[in-house]
Amino acid sequence: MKVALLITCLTENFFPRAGVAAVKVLEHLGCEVHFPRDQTCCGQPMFNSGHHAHARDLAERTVRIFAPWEHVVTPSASCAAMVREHYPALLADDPALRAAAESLAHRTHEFASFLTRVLNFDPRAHGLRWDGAATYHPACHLRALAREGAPDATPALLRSIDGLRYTPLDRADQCCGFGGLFAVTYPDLSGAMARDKADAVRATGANALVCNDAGCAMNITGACRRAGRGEAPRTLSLAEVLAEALGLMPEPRASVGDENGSEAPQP
Amino acid sequence: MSSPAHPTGPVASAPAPGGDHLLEPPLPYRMAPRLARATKDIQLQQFVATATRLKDTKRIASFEATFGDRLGAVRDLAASIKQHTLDHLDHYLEQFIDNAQRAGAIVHYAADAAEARNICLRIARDTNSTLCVKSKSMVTEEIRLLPALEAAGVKTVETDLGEFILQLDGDAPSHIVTPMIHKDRTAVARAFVRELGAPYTEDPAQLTGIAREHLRGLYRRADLGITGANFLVASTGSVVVCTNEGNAGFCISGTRTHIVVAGIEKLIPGPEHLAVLLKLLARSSTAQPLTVYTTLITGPRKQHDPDGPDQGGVHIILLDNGRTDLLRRGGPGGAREILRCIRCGACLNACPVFRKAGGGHAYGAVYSGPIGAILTPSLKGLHNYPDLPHASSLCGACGDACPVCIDIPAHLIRLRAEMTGLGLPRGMRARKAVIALWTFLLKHPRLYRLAAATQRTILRALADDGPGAPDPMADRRWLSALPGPAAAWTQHRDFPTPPAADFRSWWTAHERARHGGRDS
Amino acid sequence: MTTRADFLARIRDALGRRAEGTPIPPPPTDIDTARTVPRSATDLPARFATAAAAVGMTVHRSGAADLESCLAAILRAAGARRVALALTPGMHRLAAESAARAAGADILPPPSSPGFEPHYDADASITDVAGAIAETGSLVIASGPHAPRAAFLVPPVHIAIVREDQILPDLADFFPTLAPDTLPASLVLITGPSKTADIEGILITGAHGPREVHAVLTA
Repeated sequence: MKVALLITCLTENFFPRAGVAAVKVLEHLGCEVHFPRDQTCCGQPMFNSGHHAHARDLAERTVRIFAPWEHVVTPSASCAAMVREHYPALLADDPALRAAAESLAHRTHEFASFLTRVLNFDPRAHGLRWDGAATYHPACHLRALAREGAPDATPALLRSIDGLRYTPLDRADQCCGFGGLFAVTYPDLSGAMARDKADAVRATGANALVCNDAGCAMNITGACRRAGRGEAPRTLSLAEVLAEALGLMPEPRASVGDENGSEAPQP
Repeated sequence: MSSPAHPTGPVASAPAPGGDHLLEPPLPYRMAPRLARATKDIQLQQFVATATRLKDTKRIASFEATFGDRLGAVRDLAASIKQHTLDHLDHYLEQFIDNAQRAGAIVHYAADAAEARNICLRIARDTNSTLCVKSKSMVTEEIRLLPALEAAGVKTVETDLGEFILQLDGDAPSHIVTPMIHKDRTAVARAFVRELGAPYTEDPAQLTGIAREHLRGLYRRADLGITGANFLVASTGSVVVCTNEGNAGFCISGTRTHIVVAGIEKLIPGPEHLAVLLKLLARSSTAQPLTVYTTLITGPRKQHDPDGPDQGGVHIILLDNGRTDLLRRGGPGGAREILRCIRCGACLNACPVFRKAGGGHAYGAVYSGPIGAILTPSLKGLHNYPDLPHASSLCGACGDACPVCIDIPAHLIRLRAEMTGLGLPRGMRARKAVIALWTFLLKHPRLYRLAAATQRTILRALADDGPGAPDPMADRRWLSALPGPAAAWTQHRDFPTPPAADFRSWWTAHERARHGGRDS
Repeated sequence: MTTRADFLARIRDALGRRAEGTPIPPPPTDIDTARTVPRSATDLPARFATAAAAVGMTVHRSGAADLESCLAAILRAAGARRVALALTPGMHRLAAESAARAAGADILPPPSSPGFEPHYDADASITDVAGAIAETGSLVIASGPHAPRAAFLVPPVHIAIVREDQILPDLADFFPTLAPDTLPASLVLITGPSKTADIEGILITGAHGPREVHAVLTA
């Protein structure tokens, strides 16, 4: 099965390990993973802030870039929701593009949902083992995906991993306060919401926070670290947990270490 | 209250007591000052959080127990009833007017708030009314009716317990359904001692009893009752009023004259539709199966009825006040959908921003919370309320809570887009330029990659040296203070810098190892 | 001054309609989607009793012969000295009058409009109902010559006599029956005693209306 990775800009730049883990898990499960190099951003920040002409341009190029693949998988819940919920309407002015957007909307999956709904991933068949106490923040955009009939698969997957002690977050479904530009235009509101989330994370006693959206992850991990004066649970995506539980991570240090100093743009 | 020269003049410009200022602030209204106070007031946030979270939890449980998997279908039905009525509102209004008149009610037409106030004042004058008892109603807050009546010499008393206390305190409601969520019992106790000469008690039952006796004294003397309406039933000409306390019953039936003020969006086609909407209204508000008193008023008392308002004593004021501007924009996602709102308050209770904002006062208008954030700018102008559509994380809790399926986040985004088109607000012009530049980079992958690498280098250089990590993908540094507008982030959170290694370099190596360099 | 014609013309314009009287599609009719009690339910008194108790009413079951003693017991327990009656002439009214006498309470004259006097002096009221709803535990009370609105609203204790055959399964069975020609001036669904939770969310009964509502189910 050919799968294209829509890594999304925040994941690529701030949580690259989540992208690596997604590739490794998908390949382990028999997918042929592709990474279209021209991809940048799905346009969600522009869309949410009301700059719809810009969002439309980015939607159009994303639709074109991902046209060739049967399935598109993203480790970011909000970007999956952006493509699935908003692309067709954004590109409605051009019938051909709209059709392409609708096609992409159907082919685009959030990572956990892809595993369970498309690959029929059965965690018990894989001897998963991950030692530690973890909790999980469900990104709000999973609400939109759940309304389409794709309920969040992550908690059940986490519970199925041997050695992983899963404690649900109190009021898990409450927003962490990220909201894109909201975090900097209403810092007091956003910060207060993030503090609540950090408190809930601390109350679980978990040493790992699982989160499948880079925006929420930046916000919550930053709030946890501020509240903990530099100490915070490790924040990672479901893909990373599974990659580690399958023995696919960590990556051999040397191979990545070689590129550690290479910060020049890649052609 | 001083007596103005022209009692029926533009009352909105009359000097208002302090409390009214909260809901009618100078325009354009900016949220920042009130938010700054509210986000520092931990006690206020706790009051609001306790009140809203409990109702939100109970609402969800009640719907689950009542409808289970059918909830979606019931909400869709309710939404379709309201939408159908709005789409044919001219038809249903005519039907309602004819039937209400046939039942003996007098129907009035108010294009705006001033006209609605003037009609009320004229009725009060024509009936020689001097004491008015009023039931809680958002629409009468919207037209600022109470100060107008008082200015015209009609003593007017809010009879809903919460509103009564707020009136005593010169305060304003902070929630559509439960107006006093921002106050605790000690504030009530002090107000009753100060304003009613009551003995000090913090016992809610005793406080309620004090208000009950005080208000009964007023009901016995009142000659005018004013209520809003929860629904107007076209096929019968009935007005539906829902309360739990029973106060509306005194205002409707215990005086000679009853005035109903109702927005035109309250119409529904027939009484059968109440069976759907009432099932959702009270559960959404307070997790009750039905409000305690669900009253259908169809005209004044009949010839042999022992009580109720006189012949000619029931007045229904139909209010537009900007609603046709919303009506004008039909179609999926259009502003007309917002008029489906049945004012249940579920979106306020579900909203984490509403909690952190310390309740409704931060919204600077009668309608607060998520619904207020879309309704207020739509009724009063985006330029007057430029912040409201932006003060949301778009988490979607409001839309999920709405019993008539108003996609509130989608309307917030639509309003943001309209503002961008209008170049609003001024402070956001810089943001517009930044977003244009950002988009330009994102449309040019090479520039994007260059910018990403530069960003990583700069952010890591700004950050304190981290402890390092054996895995460069996990070698993250942290910033506790960002410069410029980004400082807003680090007011409350640390900022994670990009790790030492980047994804594309890894992918290149991975591809090379896997396929000898096949590129996607 | 805005006239009816101005007002409606503006709305018609906003809706993009050319003329009045344009035919419109029928409104949604599938009300049963929201039904929670089947039309065929046979245990309506039990369902009503459960729902009414859940909203804070006290439910009594009484045979026709015990009605008077049942009412008298409630009046005595309430310490009622003055009772308001809102019942059409008939067996229930006779039972209520006898119960008031048995409990040693005076019967107040009906209120005289405008206002609710003398019901402010009542300690309790006894009313009949126009119907009841099993789904919600609601009493339906219609205004009429023998049914002042003050009776269910003003006295601190309200006793309603409900014949079991008056109980409808669901709101979806009740509202569609309402027609403009037969509607009373006031039709009220009462679902519990008067309540408020305005002070710190703490539930208090008897905010403005009755503190106690008794539903007496009788054959």
